[in-house]
Amino acid sequence: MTHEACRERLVDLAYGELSRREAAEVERHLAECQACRAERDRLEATVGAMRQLEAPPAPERGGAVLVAAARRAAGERRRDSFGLALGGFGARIAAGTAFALVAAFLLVSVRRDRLPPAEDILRAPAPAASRQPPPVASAPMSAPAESPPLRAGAGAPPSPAPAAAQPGASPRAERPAQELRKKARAPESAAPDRTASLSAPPAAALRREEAGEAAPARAAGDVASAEAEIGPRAKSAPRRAAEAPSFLAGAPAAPSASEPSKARAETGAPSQRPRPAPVPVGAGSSAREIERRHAAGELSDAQKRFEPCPGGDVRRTAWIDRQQRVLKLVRERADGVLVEEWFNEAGRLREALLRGRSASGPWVRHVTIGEDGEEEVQDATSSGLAPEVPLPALVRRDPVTAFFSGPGCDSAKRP
Amino acid sequence: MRRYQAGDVGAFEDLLRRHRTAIHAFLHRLTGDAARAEDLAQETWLKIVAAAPRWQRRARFTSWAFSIARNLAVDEARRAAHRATDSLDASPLGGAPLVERLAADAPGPDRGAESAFLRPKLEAALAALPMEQREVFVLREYAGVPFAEIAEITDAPVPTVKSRMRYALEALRAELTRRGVLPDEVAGDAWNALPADARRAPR
Repeated sequence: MTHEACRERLVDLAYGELSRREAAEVERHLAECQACRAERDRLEATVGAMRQLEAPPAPERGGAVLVAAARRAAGERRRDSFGLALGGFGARIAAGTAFALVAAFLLVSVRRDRLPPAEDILRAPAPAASRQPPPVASAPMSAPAESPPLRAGAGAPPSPAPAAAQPGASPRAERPAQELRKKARAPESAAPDRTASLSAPPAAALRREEAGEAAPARAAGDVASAEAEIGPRAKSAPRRAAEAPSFLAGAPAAPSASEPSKARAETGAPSQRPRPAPVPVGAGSSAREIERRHAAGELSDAQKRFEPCPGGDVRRTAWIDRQQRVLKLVRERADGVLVEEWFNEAGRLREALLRGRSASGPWVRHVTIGEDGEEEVQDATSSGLAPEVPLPALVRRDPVTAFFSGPGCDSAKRP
Repeated sequence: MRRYQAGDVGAFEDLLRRHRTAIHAFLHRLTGDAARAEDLAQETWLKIVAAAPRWQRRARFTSWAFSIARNLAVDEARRAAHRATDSLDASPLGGAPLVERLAADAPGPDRGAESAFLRPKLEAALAALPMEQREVFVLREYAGVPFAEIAEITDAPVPTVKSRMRYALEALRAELTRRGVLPDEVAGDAWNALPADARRAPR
């Protein structure tokens, strides 16, 4: 046996992958060849050192969610051996992908908080009553302390009557004077941008986070989220419907580039993101009806999470009806802008609400799309001017594709 | 897997119990990051659930599962690399380089001083390997997967897999030597001159 032939087999020998005959040949050569022996010893020393690397800790959580996903998938396969009956949704998305939507959501649910063991809670869900949302009076809408008053009635208690909270409502005396009204096609939103898509966890869970509730409460939020996927979400609905927030009060904290990356690594998402307000849209709008249906437990949530990248989304949530149509998308972007978009059953954008914070303070833009595609834009900023930052393009149609698309990073858009 | 294909969820639980730790450990070694490994492992299992109807009996479940896990990890690493080269300002979004994070991720005092001292070096040596060598090494050394199956998992010919293993061991030796875990090259002869039992790897 040549030295080279011997050395080629040393790895096999070390891992017991040689036949007895081959091993004997190699051993014979080693007995005679000091150089090859030295090579074998070096190899063994390396392997021996690396073998001291302790096994990583076994995963403790998430098993119940996986089993629930498996059960659900098996049930769906039983119902239809060829996959999911998806209606219009399925015409475009293969059954496997539709499952991935469920899967992505479950994954996020498990991950969002790894501190408390949510898994066991999942097995025996807490009663809805124990999942106490933050009291409305204690500023549940994430309005950070430094948020400038955007509503004329900002001196009033932060639990405005629902009608006062609705930007699309008919003009009211307390509406901020700064609100701008434009009737025009917004240039940058004229072209549908599939890469800019949608995100954010279920509003209820987010509000819990905002309210700074302790870890156990957030675990309950996870459970609530998982339930929303696994079963009907009706349990938490009445509360949500009862809340009466102001969409302007939901102006986000400043998007902070210096936000420690550690926070993201630990929580899966920066904590200071704008949060969707529960009932943020204009009276009589289709959006309002969608919010109502979600609150009534008729819609389920799916969620996707992305690594933050400039110009991209961090989180997307889709509200899906029983025909698997996406009726609402929430996109939480890496730049801190939160985009909520409501679609009709044909998948066309009806309303959008964008919230962010620029150098001059928080801003909110509400866009209504008319029957002929015309846009009505309302802006509210603390400076009285439209936001001076370029706004992300809206998803004009096909929210399903938008939900499943990549994060939409700037880099990916470059030619 | 056949039982689960037929709708037996208990069979899926069995699979999960038997293989979850191995897949998680594989991903942890491969990525060097506990949180990412956990994400990827969950994703792997969800993919397994989604792809169950397409699983074929002739595929070994472990190979199939490892290949799903591996592809997810490779894709993610590729995206991360893309991001890193794309953005000069990657740190607020990306996080510390793997090696630094590994060094910072040293075990707690309960693991023992010696282990605490050694482990970051071993992890850093592993992390320094190119992905295609690391995956082969991790599958063979820690997951106990034979080379022929690694070839299937990584979609590479068996001789290539073995070459990668040899390169990996070479690179690991160099790295461990550089980090003082193994005696250095110059001392190699003296090392070999030691009695065999003294030449075992440091404990």
